[in-house]
Order: sequence, then C-alpha cells, then structure tokens
Amino acid sequence: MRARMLLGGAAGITAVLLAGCSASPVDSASPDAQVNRDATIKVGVTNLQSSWDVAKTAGSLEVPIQKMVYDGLTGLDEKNNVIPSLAESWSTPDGGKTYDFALRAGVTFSNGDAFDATSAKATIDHYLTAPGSTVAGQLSNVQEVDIVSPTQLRFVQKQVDVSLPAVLSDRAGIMMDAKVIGAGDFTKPVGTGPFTLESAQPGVSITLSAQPKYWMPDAVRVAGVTITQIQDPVAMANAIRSGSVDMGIVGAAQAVDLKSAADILSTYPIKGRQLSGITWNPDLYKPLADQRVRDALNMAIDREGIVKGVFLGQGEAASQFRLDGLPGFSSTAKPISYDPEKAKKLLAEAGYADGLSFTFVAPVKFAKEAEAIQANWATIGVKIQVVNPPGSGPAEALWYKPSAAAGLWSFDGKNDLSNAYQQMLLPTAAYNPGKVVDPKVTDLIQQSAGTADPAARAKVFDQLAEITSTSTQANTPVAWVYQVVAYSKSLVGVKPWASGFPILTGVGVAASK
Amino acid sequence: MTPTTDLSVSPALREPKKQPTPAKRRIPVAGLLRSLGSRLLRSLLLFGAVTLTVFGLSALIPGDPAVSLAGEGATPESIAAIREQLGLSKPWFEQYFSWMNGVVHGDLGTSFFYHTPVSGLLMGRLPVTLSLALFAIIAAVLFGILAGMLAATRRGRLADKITTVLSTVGIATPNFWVGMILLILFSLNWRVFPAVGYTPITTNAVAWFMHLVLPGVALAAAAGAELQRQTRSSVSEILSQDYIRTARAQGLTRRRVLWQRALKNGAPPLATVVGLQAAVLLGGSVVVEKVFSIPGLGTLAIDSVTLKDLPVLQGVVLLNACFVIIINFATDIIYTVLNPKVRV
Amino acid sequence: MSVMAQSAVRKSPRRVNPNRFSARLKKQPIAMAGLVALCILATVALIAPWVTPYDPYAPDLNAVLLPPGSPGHLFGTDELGRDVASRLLIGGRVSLIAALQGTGIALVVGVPLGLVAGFFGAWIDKVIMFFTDAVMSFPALLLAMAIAGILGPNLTNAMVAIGLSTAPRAIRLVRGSVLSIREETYIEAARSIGTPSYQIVFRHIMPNVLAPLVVFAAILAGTVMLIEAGLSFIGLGVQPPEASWGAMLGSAFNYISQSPWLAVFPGVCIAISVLALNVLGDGVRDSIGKKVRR
Repeated sequence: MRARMLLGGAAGITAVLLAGCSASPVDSASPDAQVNRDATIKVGVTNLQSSWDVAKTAGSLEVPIQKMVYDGLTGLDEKNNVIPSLAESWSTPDGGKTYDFALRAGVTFSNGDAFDATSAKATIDHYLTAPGSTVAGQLSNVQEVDIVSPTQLRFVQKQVDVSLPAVLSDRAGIMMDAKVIGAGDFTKPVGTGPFTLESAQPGVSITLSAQPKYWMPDAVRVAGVTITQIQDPVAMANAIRSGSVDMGIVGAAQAVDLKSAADILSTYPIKGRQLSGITWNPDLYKPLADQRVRDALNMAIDREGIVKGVFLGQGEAASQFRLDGLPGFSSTAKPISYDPEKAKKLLAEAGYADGLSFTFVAPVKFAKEAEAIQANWATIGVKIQVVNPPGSGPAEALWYKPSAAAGLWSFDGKNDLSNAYQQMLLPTAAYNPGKVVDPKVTDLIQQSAGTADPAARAKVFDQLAEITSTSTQANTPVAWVYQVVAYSKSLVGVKPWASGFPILTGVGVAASK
Repeated sequence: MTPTTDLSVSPALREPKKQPTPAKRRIPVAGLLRSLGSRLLRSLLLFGAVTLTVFGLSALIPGDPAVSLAGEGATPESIAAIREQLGLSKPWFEQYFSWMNGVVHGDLGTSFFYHTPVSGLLMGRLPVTLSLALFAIIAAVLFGILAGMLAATRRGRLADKITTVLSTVGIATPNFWVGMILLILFSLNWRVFPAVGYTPITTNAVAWFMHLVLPGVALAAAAGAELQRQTRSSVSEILSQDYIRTARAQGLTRRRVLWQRALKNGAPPLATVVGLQAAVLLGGSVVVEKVFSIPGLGTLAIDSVTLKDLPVLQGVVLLNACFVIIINFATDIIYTVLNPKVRV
Repeated sequence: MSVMAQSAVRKSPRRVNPNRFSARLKKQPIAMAGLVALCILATVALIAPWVTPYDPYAPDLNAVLLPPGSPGHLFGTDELGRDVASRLLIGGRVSLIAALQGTGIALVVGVPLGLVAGFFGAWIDKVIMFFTDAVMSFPALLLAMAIAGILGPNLTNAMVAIGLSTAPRAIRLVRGSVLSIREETYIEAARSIGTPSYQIVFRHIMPNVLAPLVVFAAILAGTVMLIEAGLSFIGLGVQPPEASWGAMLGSAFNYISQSPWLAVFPGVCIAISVLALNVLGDGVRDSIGKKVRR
C-alpha cells in the first residue's frame, strides 16, 4: 500500500514549506544584496512533525518539515515530475522491477558522516523492519536493497512497478544517518538537509539554524527558521496578518479575507494538492451497491456551486484524480453532469423513489462541503446524517473499522496516478471497503502499473478517466481545494510553486532600507 | 467555556452556616488540625477516584489510537502491530495498573504521538496555562473587588450603574467571543498586542506580558464580573448591618469602617469565589487558548483527543483534577482560618 | 453562579408568599424586562418553524455571505447562502430547547440526590458528596467530550453531558438548603409524630428548596447556553444542518473579519438570553425574602 490519503488525522491541513527537495538551481532573480542573511523566518504550520524518526511519523504532511533537516533521494516538481535530489539519476535495467540509483557524491551529514550507499541502505532497511514502522506500507513492493558501490544503490522489487522513484520523493526516500539509526536515539536528528535542529517543543514549535556546509549552498539565504504550530485557520490568518509569522497556509475563507491586507501580504494558491472526494461502502448500506444509485448521488452534487459557495472560488470541480493541466489528466473524458432531475429518475428506476437515508462521515475541514452535499441530496429525497469526528476518525469510520456508508476524504494528489487508482478503485484496495468492482477498470489499472512508456501510460489513463468520471466507482472525486499560501511582503524569493509546498529554498528576508 | 460554567464549588460553600456563635474569636488549633487531617484524607481518596475515572473516560473516547498512529496507507496488519507495541491489546485493568504504578512513581508514560515522556510535555505546557490563569485571576480580582467596592459604596450612582452593566454583560457573553473581539480590535486593527502565541517569561518578560493581555482579559471577563457582583452584594449587605452602623456611630470614618470591617467580614466568601474561579480558569482556558493559539494545557488536551494520544490526555486531565483538588483544599483551609465559625 | 444561588439559600425565609412575591417582582423593572424578553424568546422559539421567511437549511451557493440589508435577506446570508434571519429564529428554538434539556437533566439528577444526601445524611450523604467532588474535579469540557464521544455527537447527547456535569451544583444547592432547615422545630415535630419521610420531604422541605431552585435553574439555563456555545465552537454541539446560536457563532468565526455580522447576531442573541435569565433569576431571588430586598 502506498497510499497518501490524508484524512484529517495528524493531517488537518498541510504543513507549509520545504527546503532542499529541489535540486534545481536557485532562482537568482533577487540579488543577494537585498537579503538579510542574519534574519530568521517565522513559519506557521497546522501540524509539526511527530517524531524525527521518519519510521514513526504519521503521514506525508510531515515531509516538508522532515526535509528541512533531512534530504530525500528524489523530489517532485510542480508538474509531479520526479526530480533528482540525493539521487542524481536512476535507471531500470529490466523495465521496472529493479532500479539503480546513482547517489550524489561528497554530501555529508550534519555530524560530519559521509552520505553513501551504506547510509541509504541502513535507512531503507530501518523503514522496512522497524517495529510498527509507518513507512513500511509505502515500500511494501520492495524486496531488498543492495549496495552496488558507495554511490550506487539497487532496489529489487517484488513485481514490476514504475512508480518507485515517485514513492521515494515522499517519506520512504528521506535519508537518515546509519550511526543514528544504529544508536536508536532520534531526539537530535542528523541529516544532510539545509538546516539543523536547535531546539524543539513537541506540538508547539521548533527552531532550526542554517547548515553552513549544505551541498546546495545558494538554497539557504537565512540564518534560521522558527516553525510554530497554529492549528486554527482563523488564528493562522491572524498570525500572518499581525506579523506573528511570516508565512503560512490558510483556508478559503481566510484567503479571501487576507486580500484586504494586500499592502503587507501576498498570497498564492497551491492547486493540485488537496482533492476531496467520496468513498461509497455498499457493505454498510445495500442500495449503494447499485450503480444507478451511486450515479444518481454523484450527479446530484453541485460541484461548481460547492467550489463557488463553500470554497469561495478557491478550488475547482473534480472528476478525475489529477488536476486539469497536470500529466495524467485526461482532457477527453467528460465529467458527470449536475442533473438532479435525472438523478431522481435514476433513483426511482433503481426502486428507491422514496429516497435513501444513511450516515455520512467527513473530516472537520470539509464539514461545510458535507453540509452542501447534504442539502444537494435533500433535493432528490436522500437524507444523510453527517458526522465530523476529529483526527483520524473519518479514516477509521470509512476504511479501517467501517461504520459510515459513505463519506468525504482528502487526498494529496501527489502520488503516482497508477498508484492512486490502485488505492482507490481496485477491489482489494484499502480505500474500497465495500469491494465495489468494475472488471474493465481493474484491468486498465493493472495495465497502467506495468506500463513504463509515458505515451502508452497516458493512453491507459485516458481510458480510465473516461470510464470512472461518468460511472461512479468505489471512490469519486468532488473538488480540488486550493491551499492558499499567505506570506509577508518582507520575504523575497518566494516562488509560486504549484507542486505542493512553498519551498523555502532561496527564500530570504528583505534587508531593511 | 466561560468561568461561569464552573464545576467546582469549594466544599466550604455547601456546609450549613451555623448561625451566630458567641462573639469570642479564638482559633482552636486542635480542631483546626483535625479538620485539616480529615480533609487531606478526603482529598487523597478523591485523587484515587479521579485516576480511575480519568483512565476509564479516556479509554471510552471512541477511536483507535493505533489507526491514528499508523497514519496514511495503514493496513490491518500494521495497525495490529502498533496496537501490540503500545500495549493496547492487554486487558484494561492490566493497562490501568501499569499506568497507575507509573503515576505513583511520577511516571505518566510516553506520548503515543510524540514519542517523548508525558511529564516533559506537561512541564512544557504548564507554565503557559499557569501564566494565563494567574494573569486572569489577578485581573479579575483587581477589577472585581475594586469595582465591587466602588459600586457598593456608591449605590445607584453612575459608578455603580457603569460597573454593574459591565459585569452583567461580562457574565452573559461567551469568553471566546470577548477574546475574538479584543483580538480584532487590539491586534488586527490597532496592532497593540500580538494576535497569537506565547513567549516564555524567561525569554522576554515584556513579550510574555503582551501575549497574555488579550487572552487574559477575555478569560478574566466573566470571573471579574462574578467577583464584582459578589463583592457588591456582600459589602453592601455588611454595610447595612447593625455593627457597622454602631461602628460609624462610634465615630469611625466611613472609609475606615469599609476597609476594616466590611472587607474583613466579606473576605471568606470572597476567598471562596476566588478559589472557585481559579479552579475554573485552569479548565476553562481551553477555548480561549484555541482562539489565541496559545500552546497551553488546554491546547494539549484538545490535540491529544484529536490524535487519540491517551497517555497525554490522561496526564492533562489528571494534572487538572489535582489542581482543582488542591485549590479546593486550600480554599477550605483559608476559609476556615478566616471564618472560625465554620467547622467540618 | 452557584455562589449567587447559594446566597439565595442563605437568605431564603421559611415560606414564600406567592402574592407578595409577584408584587415584589413586579416592582423590579429590570427583572420584569428579563421576564418579558424571555417570553418573547419562548414564543418565537415555539412558532419559529412556521414563520421563517426562508427554509433555514436550504443553501443558495450563488448568494453566500450577503451583508445585512441585502434584498430579501434582512440579516444577510451565511457561508452557504442560507438566510441568517431564518437560521436565527430556528437556532433560537434549538438553543432554548438545549438550555431546557441541559437544565432539566441537571435538576432531574441533582434534586433527588441532593434531597437524599441532605435529608438522610450519614453515609449516603458522604458517598453522594464524594462522587460530586470527583465529578467536579474534571474540566467540564473534557467530561462533555467524553460523554458526547461515547454516546455519539448530537445536541441531546451534548446536553446530557452538560446536564450530568452541572448536576453536582444542583446536588450541592439542594443539599445545602435541606441541611439549613432539617433541624428546624416544625420538622422535628413532624418527625416526632411519625410523619413518613417522603411526606416530610414533599410537604415541608420541598417548598423551601423550591425558591432557591428556581433562581438556580434560571441562572443555570444561562450557563448551559454559554457552555453550548463553547462546545459548538470546538465542534461538539449540534450537527449540521441543524443550527443553534452557538453553532452559528462557531462557524461564523471562520469569516470573522470578512463578515463580522455573522458572529454579531447570534452573539447578541446569546447575550440577551443569558442576560434575561440572569436578571430574572436575580429578581426572583430579591423578591423571595425581605432580607434580600434593598
């Protein structure tokens, strides 16, 4: 399982920032003279990291913070392309079963140890075998890791899967020091990343200072970073507006609101990184097993209205697992049309003219969206009882100990598209608790996993999107919800980077005039 | 929660008032010690009951901590492995006794989520909430007593009317609402005080104070209002009594009578109210902490519920309950010393 | 609050004369204003479902966050385009019912236990008071969270939680009143001629407990409203699409600087209701006995 479904949980919204995940040279648009190199940047995040032992972390939300101290083998760019980081290049001699990674030479950890294949193997082995490892799932297809040479690491997979480099851009590719892993004490993290940890108070804040010998020297243009946990979206907006923090991610309502402070703040939306959608579970409510019922419910959702009303325009209607404009999105597939009248007819056809009634679970951050869906469905005679349990409650109620017939989830849209389909729609998928099956879809998904050629893959994805966007499967996308980054105008070098996290690479604080 | 939502009335309040005892005011030490002893024993018993309840309640809160910890992409196997690792698959009484054994030895366990000792987490958050509660109590007492005295001595006049309206409104408004309005005005619009967070006093005393002002006032509003009303009514009741009239007839000045007699006689109920409000403020700061994003015990409690971090949740609640027990105990003692008429 | 109620106990005389009581109450303009306000609120709450200008649950995603005074929406619309005026009306109904539920549960649980503890004393008193103290050692919020969590999140369960966590106050109040009159000569007399306990309780003790209890209930109802607002703020109150003033306040905070009126209206409604309950409670207390009148 290589899922990156984020359902509430430690989740909440997303952590901001990330440094050193991109090996691309720093944009030198702002000359160095304008930057105060002694300055500290204050960043607000909704959730700090839970542990510096990556094998114990709760999810991908922690990746941006982890990657300030550690580096990953690979990274992702704004188009979801996998880019080099500690691994300079990779190749597969056998079409996707074995992968060889060429590691960057001359990189050292903050304690002086050299980064090499030994450290990399120790880290991956740690993720695979540590008791209760939460990263093992991402690497479940990895058979073994071998040291070919100090700068050459080989992954042998159980079966062909071309998504390995993408997987390694997440938690599974974060590199730790072999010595630290051996000692088992992770309170003082040792990484190759752009910053080192100065102090931390769990759940409150962490203080980082710049690592002077970072392998990508131009990446760090500040003396340090203070990251403070601010969970309430209103408090986050207030903190940014009042200058308590320089940067943070806010919700739609706050984003609209902060436009009134445009003299001191800039904002930009991260677009393809938060998808909300619905899981259907016929095991808990029989009528959902009927394709017509699912389709009726699907077409009764006013997606445009939700984007406009609930997310105040800070989002897009969704019918696929990829945002329009990103690789994998099919422009030929037609979305299901919003048609309550037809939905009513379909329900009657299926024998449910009197309506339906079931429990619907939603993470707190999508409570309003759930309310809007509830009202949409009320017009076709479907009554749902909405519950918004905190934390990982929705995930538990939907998938792990199913108690809700349907519900909203959140997906970060980051992982390989074939993986996404595997997670969501295969009959054995973790997020398909009611085992909703469409043999054609299953077939296509299996085809996509084994296809390495990008053009051939795109064709398979087109076919998949055409089927799944109109015939309602186990999981249905509803809306892409932008995460709006708001930052102080005193920051320079902030790049509107669509790929998910505003990066601190190259960000500095303007020197006072 | 506003301070008016208290759950903790000091036991002193529910004792029947044995009406007038002989004028002799002497504190019998032996009796005092005996009542102190029995109250101490009672407090210890309470502590025992509280630990059991804390454990039971947190175990009943729905949701599986292992699901929360296994995170994204969890499988039934990984969830089971984590359950096993955390000791959650053992029977509840075994879990209780091993937890209790730790508590008695000062070990509150290890946080499921942060993987650090709970006691360390609590010690990190305690100064924050204590600062906030102390600030609020001092603000409430200052406002409550001064405004109450003012109102009582100037009944029906403008000062009385203004303070009474203030306190009536203070009692009737939710404290987080007061906090939000203060925040919009003083922080977002006028930028006088910081909007969120907390600075330790050891880092910067001025910043510490500035961070506490808005949440402290929001938290103090209802408590101060309550104290104002209490002071106003008890002082005016005392002022109307015979011995005060006698004292005034004897030529003592009005101010002297007021401060010496009225406040002295009004002190015991006041002490009780202060103690009661202190206990409430600790538990009641949760919502205000959320509004101002203050990393105190309240925030930790909410986080631990969200994350299903049971050891932390148990630790926070236990700490809070201990505070309430101690404050009630102290209030009882103060009450007894101030007013020897009351004996258990 | 309980302190105020307590002072009512201390000051309450043996019996309350209904005629003198209402005469005194009528002489207090503020208390009367509170009573009138409450009557209006209750009436509105009763007829709310039939007088709302719009369906309070029907969103109009094309008309979200309209300011007050917009055509057709006197108080504007909320974040889902629902009519704020309609939601205030229906929300008032929910809030008042919630306050009644919470207060009712506190009294139903608290009064009998308080009577038993006060009247019989001895070990049963000790046991009841011990559990009362234990319940009071917990933050109300956590208790409410736990109970709402165990029973499932909805308004009734939240009110059960609030009722149970405020019941100790009722226990203490009733017990205190009973203790203050238990040893009176007329009760001793009744006892000595063999009047059964339940008769003593209902004929002699209850009437004396009633007056302070009314004061207490009025003030507690206000407190329950405030707790409900707090619970809703952290998402434990009514479930969507249901509205209560507290829940409206809770969701309004997301739009606080952009659309502050969303928070203003329910906030003012809560304040007025709590205020009305408080002044009425004070008025009743002041009308009970001569000592309290000033």
